[in-house]
Amino acid sequence: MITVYVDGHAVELDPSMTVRHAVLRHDREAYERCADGLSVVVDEAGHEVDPEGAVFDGMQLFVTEPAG
Amino acid sequence: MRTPRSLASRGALLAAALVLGLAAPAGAAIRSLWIVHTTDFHGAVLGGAKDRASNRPIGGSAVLAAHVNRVRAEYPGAVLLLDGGDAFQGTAISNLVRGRSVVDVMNAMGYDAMAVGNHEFDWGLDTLFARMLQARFPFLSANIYERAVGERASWVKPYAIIERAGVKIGVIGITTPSAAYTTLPGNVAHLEFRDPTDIVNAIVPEVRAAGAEIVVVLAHEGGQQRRDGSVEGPIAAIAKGAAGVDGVFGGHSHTWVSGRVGGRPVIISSSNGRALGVMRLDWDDAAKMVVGAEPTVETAFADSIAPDSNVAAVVAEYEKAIGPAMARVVATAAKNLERGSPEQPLGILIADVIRRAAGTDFAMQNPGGVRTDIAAGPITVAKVYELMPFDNLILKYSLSGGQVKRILEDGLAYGRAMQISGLKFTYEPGRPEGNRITSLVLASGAPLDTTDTYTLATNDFLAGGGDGMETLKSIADYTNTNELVRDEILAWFEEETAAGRPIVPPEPGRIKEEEAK
Repeated sequence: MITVYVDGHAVELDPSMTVRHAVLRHDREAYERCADGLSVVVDEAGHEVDPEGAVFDGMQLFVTEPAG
Repeated sequence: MRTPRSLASRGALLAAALVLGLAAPAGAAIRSLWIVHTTDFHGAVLGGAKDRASNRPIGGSAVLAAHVNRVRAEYPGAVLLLDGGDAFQGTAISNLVRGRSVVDVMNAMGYDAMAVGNHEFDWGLDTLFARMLQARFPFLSANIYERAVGERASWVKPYAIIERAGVKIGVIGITTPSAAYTTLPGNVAHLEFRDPTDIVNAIVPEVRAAGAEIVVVLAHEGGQQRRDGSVEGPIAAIAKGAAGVDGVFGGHSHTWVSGRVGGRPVIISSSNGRALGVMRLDWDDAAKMVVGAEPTVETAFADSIAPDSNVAAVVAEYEKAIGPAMARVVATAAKNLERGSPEQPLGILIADVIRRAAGTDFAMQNPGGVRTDIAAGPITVAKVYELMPFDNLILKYSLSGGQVKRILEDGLAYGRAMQISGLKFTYEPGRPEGNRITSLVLASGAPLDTTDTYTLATNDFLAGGGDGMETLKSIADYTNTNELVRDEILAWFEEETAAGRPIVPPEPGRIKEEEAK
């Protein structure tokens, strides 16, 4: 298992999972907002991270509102 | 001995000299090379995506090609084009032709090399070999070994040496070691993905001896950049630990990285054709070394450039071809296959497909994941994509009967009757949470033993806690088959058709809702 941080909260995750799984495990509502295009996953610098991207131990993700 | 520190300091001195207008050492000439990088394209041949930050259109292979052309036009003869792998899997226009459309696009764009990503193995080695034969550029990976003999895989080149502007650039390919469990495990069981840093350190002298003056790593391995500019993750470990390397390109994590680790430039160029990385490397002819570097990543905006017409023509051909492929009939429904409630004929049919594919005692499908009804008559590929648009994977668990019951109770607490295979259950919605199931039996009618161990297959949405699956979410011990539910539905439909059988709804009566007694 690896630890991914979503909005600062630690999420334990199988390393074969992806960004969307990390968000889903952290907050189902946030996941659904992302799926509906109402929210977006970004890195600390604000760059969008694709939900199908691979995760790694210590990865930091944030769920935010799209700026556009 | 070259070190990042010495490179950085020498580069800084030269850069300062240039900025200050000071004369370079007699005879010294600096030649700049630009390495353009894409990664994790995932079949994003067609455009139509938007950049969420600006709401501007981005991507599509013809747009990406136009951006590459722009860099080539600006620096003629000095541009290298590399891809970090995971190019094929992900869209119908690629999946339906097993990545052939993507390689044709990459050929038209003039790629120089591509790393082998984990998803390059999704359709088996035969398909990968077909794509390698089709490509007019080498696929690279130095850390794939044949497990049985302990030797580097002979079917993929570990590195390539490419000349631009009179400078020879060695490109070392790396595949993420997580490929062992992030593609179909059976496709790579005979392979070993060795530690990237160890492999790079071992092979750099060979690459240099073969004539490479500049050496870069083209890795399908992830990382991310923090707000302070620092780079973290496996790609940072490679950049930090690999000696004698002038630049590192990553992928796999679909992130945006343009930074440095120990002075070495590192790039990860997002994913899905959204962006391209450009790494400038300044080669000092006299010192025979890289004396400056600048990594950048830019968004591939579609509204600021005219799409490349050659690539657009390739894409148009595939769009035409994909129409018939999507319209291909894979099965015939003998009756309407509907969703319904609480038991969905189509939902329990999909659960049956999952159970059959996984070879488990039970299977479970979330009702909300069944996205359309199927009318009696021909079923097309497009209809199956409509039915199951998500790239949901099948996972396998070993559970007690008591855990199985709690999982079904979790669904009911969330207002969802899970669609099941291998089981039958009756529930009363008005009963207290956790005690709504009044009967739970095997398909044979025998009671489920809460202390016995059973195997259950489901999709990764439920495994992640979707639809209130708190019990399932808490169970860390499972096997990811990396099989897509949609692919298994297609495969089963085609098998039934080959056997001359139409698709019929499963026998009803697995899920019953009762009024309070």
